Amino acid sequence: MEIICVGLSHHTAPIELREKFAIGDSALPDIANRLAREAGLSEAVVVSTCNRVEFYAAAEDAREGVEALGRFVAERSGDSGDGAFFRHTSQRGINHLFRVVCGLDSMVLGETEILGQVKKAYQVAQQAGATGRHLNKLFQRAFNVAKEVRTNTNITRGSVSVGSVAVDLAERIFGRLNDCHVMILGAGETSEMTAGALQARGVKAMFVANRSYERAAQLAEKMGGKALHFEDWAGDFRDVDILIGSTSAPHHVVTVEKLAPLMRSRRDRPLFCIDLAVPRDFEPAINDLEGVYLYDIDSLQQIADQSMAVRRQEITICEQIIQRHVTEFSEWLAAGPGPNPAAFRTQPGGVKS
Amino acid sequence: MELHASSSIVAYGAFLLAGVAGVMYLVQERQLKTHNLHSIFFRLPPIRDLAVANRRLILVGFVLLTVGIGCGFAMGNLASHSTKIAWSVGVWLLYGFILSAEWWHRLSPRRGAWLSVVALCIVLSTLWGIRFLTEQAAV
Repeated sequence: MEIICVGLSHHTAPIELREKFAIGDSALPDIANRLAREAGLSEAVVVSTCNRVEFYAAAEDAREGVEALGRFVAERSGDSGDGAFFRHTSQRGINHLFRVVCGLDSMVLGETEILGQVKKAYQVAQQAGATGRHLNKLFQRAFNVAKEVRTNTNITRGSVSVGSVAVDLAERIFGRLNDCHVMILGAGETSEMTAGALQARGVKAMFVANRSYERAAQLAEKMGGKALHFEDWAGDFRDVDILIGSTSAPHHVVTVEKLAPLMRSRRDRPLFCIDLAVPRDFEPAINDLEGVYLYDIDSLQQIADQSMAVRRQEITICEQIIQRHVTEFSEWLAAGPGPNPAAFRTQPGGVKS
Repeated sequence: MELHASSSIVAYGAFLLAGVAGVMYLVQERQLKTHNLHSIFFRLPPIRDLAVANRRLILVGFVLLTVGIGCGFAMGNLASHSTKIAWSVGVWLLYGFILSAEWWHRLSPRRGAWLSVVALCIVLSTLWGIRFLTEQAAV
């Protein structure tokens, strides 16, 4: 039996082509089932996400299987994909799946969302009756590989975008964010996104101060917070733990002179300042105040880059782990048919032989 | 006797943990301030929790040491343990000073962490000498 994988991803196809071949959640069981019944194929799993559409199948003959898969895709979409489809068979197919679930093939290296997406695709195919002993074993092994890689390497360590670095740092400072208060100075798009990410982690309250009160009120309503007149931001500062600046002011809005007396009124409570504005809203010297941690857009980006560099360094170790599992799985596959637990379970009476 | 020994031992354990929390606080604080995050940063507890733990452990240790010393005085036989008593009272005063500084002078978590580490170093560096002197006196 051979494992084959035919598909396209962000590496091989632009979004216009990917969306043409994308398969909706509701159609996945039917397509997996039909694929598994195609001549030359015996089992199938279909993975369709925003970055990839991939068909995994087990076939007696790799060449026939690839042709059958290609035919099926072309008939379904009315397009052959103009060479955007990759075709992997045997060890390369297995290797590809293992790399995908580990996040090595993802747009953001090491991201973990893809593992959940592949797990879901496998469950759908399994429930549709499109999988058998080979793909069951392959996908179970793939999930184990992903777990091993995540446990034993730093491939998922740190955050790799400015927004997630800010949220990550907030959690390093405050732990759980559900008792934290956030204040936004300047209702810009970037600050809204960052505040949204913090809100998703459960921050307790949100204050929005903006030169235009209407815009502050709009954003506050959207985020379930309280709008403030820009001149009054210091009045509600006492309870604030995270201060986000993204005004378009040409000068520093938060200075040592303003902040130092305010900090004295909040005993022991650290203040995390996120400066997303250019020119900067926060005077750099406030980072020297006791309990104040200031990060501007460059320092956040630098941390994101460092995390990405760490992840890149881990690729070799991940590949070694993956290769070991590919070899083991290929040996199992080459050993030929053994007892089929799935078939055994479905036998009426289930008498053990 | 049991209460004296057990409360004193737990008190020193609390001071030790406060010192460890202090070190972790200072390491994390430095990395956060300099924006230079090493791998250890991601393994430490949140800095706010470390500050709270540091303060509470010093308070718990101080209360237990007070109980331990009080029981020691109540047991009598002070003359034969004069070195040990003097040392214990010294440690009690040291941590009492840190607590009063935190309470009355609104000591910042950073300074509190520094003081707990320094106090722990003083206690550990004098502990062996005191044990030696106590054993010599017993012989």
